[in-house]
Amino acid sequence: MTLAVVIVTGNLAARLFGKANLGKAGILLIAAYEGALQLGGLSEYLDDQQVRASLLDKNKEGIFSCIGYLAIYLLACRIGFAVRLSSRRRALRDHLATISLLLYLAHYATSATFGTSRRIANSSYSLWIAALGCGHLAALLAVQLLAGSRLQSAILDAINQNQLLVFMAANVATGVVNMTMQTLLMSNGQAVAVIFIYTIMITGVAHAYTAK
Amino acid sequence: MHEFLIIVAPCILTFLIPPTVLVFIPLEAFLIIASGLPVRPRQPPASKPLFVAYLKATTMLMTVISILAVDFRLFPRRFAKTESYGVSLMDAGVGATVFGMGVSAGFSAHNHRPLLGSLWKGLPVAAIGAARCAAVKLFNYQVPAADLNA
Repeated sequence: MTLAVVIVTGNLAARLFGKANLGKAGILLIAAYEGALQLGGLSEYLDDQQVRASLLDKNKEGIFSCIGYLAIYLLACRIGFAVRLSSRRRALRDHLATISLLLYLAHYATSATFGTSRRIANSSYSLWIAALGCGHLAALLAVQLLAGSRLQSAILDAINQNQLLVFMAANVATGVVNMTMQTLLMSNGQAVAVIFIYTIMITGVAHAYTAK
Repeated sequence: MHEFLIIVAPCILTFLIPPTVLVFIPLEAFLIIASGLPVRPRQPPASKPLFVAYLKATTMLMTVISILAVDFRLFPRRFAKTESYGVSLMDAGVGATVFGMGVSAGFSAHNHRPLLGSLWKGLPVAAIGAARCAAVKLFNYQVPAADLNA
């Protein structure tokens, strides 16, 4: 649900502000949300586990965390836009790494003052995810630069082409495994075996579906 | 599929035994370069450079491994989703998925989707969210109060 809201709102924002401005929009959103949390009493409201009367109350974390996730989406959109525009890959890799570091610093700063919460997706969390994502992108780019054009992965391509299928299959398989086996009681060796078999099956499914 | 060994297996082992990541990073670098992963012409001509597309794929891979592995004792506890405060690997998984979607959107050719188009695309995701809510209610699946994120 959160994903649907974030995508629709994010696209709307891209229309309204233009992709190039989404970086500032994302940061503003993070600041505004954290402001509301700290100064507007939103934090107390969200922390309160007792009163869950209305439908809004019952889902308040989900609803308000949309704001944090939207911020992540906007920042990511800006980065994607920058990637598309850039032509020099080595410079891009270095830029991404730098941005990632800056975001990490911001994350640690906000984490020390406000704490990090996935549940409400506060500023520290959004900055952390953005930092990780940028770093991830930089690392992948670095690998691609090292390996040259030979780099190609059937598994990753298969996953890319059937993302939703892979995710659903994984969820279903996890459910099946949990219902048929007592995972908490299994030995380490058995655990590794099960995880490996499961992963092989999932990647196999993705691959088979692609070959169709 | 030797790819599985090079890409997926180390990922699994790294999750289960975190210190091994120190070994794997140089090992991976060597393997990827030296083994010469099979060169295949991409079936549709690439609309995105590889590293952009693989962001979502690698995130998905890590997510897939985690959602099962977390149910075993072997999985390090500190990687599991947090209740209120703090950071962990699986916490990142949710956000990383959103980040990947953002990058794809930012990268795409047109400046913005027509609003109806994006609403239409959002429908399957919303439907899945709604179905998950219904299923959880029906089966009385154990839902910690902090997990009401659909």
